[in-house]
Amino acid sequence: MGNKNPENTVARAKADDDAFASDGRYSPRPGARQLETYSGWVMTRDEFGDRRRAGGEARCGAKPVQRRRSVEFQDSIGKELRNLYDDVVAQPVPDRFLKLLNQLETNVLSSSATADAPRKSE
Amino acid sequence: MTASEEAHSAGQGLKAELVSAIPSLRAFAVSICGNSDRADDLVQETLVKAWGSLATFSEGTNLTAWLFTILRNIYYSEYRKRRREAPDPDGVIAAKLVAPESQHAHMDFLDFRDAMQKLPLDQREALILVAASGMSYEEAAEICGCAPGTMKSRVNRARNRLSELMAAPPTAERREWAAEQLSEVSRD
Repeated sequence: MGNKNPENTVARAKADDDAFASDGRYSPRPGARQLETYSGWVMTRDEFGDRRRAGGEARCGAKPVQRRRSVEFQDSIGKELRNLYDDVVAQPVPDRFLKLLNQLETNVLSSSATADAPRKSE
Repeated sequence: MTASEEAHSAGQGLKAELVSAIPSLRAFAVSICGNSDRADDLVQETLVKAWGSLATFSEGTNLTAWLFTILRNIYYSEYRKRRREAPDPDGVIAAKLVAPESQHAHMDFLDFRDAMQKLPLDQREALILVAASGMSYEEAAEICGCAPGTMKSRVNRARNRLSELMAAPPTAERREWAAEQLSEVSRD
C-alpha cells in the first residue's frame, strides 16, 4: 500500500469504482483514501467534506491530475451523498411531527367513535 | 374491544412505526429537494397523506418504502405544477442551469447540494435512493415504478453528470471563492 506508482493508483481506484456500481452500495476499500497523498484536487474536495464538518479551514492539494479525476470524483460523490443523508437521519425527530401524529390520532379517535363507525364494521 | 379501542391500539403501533420512519423520510426529502424547510413540509404532507390511507398499507411490508413512495409522488406532482405555473418558453431558466464555459470557474466549486439540484429529477432520486440510503436497485426501482435496469442506468448517468457539473481543476481565485463558501457552510 506504500506504493507511490501513479499507474497502480489508477488501477486500484478503478476497481473501487466498479465495486460501487456492481451492487449499488458504496463500499470503500482500503487504499482508496490513500490517493489523497499524491493525487490532485479531487481528493482535496473530499477532504472539504470532512473539514467542513469539523469547521476547519479548507486546504487545497497538489496540481490536478486529469486522468484520476473522474474516478476519484465518484468516490467523493458517494461520500458526500451519504454524509448529507446520514446527518439528517441522525437528527432527533422534530416536535412538529410528533404533535402532528398526536393530532391525527385524536382526529381518528373522535371520528371513529362517532360518524365513522359503519365503515369500520364492513 | 370496541371499535374505538381497536382503532386506538392499531393507531399506537402504526404511530410508533411512523415515528421511527421519520428520520429516513426527512433525509430522503432533504436530499431530493435540497432545502430543509421545504423538506419538512414534504414530510408533513406525507405523514398526513399516509395516515389518511393507512388502510391501503399492507402490514408486514416495508413501511419506509411505502412512505418514500408517497413523498415522491407529492414531490413529483408539485414539481410538475411548478413547471406549469412558471413556464420557460425561451429557455431562460434552462440556460441558467447549463453553465457556459466562462462560468465554469464557479461550477467546479458548486456546493454539492447545488450540483445535486441541477440533476434531472429521475437521476437525482435514483442516486439518493441507491447511493445514499443504501437501497438495492430493486427496492429503489419499486419506489420509482421502473425496472431495476432503468434504475441502474439512472444512477450511472447521475454520477457522470455530477462529475461534469463539479469537475474542473481549481485556480487560486476559485480556491478563494470555495473557501468563502465553506466558511458560510460551517457557520450554519
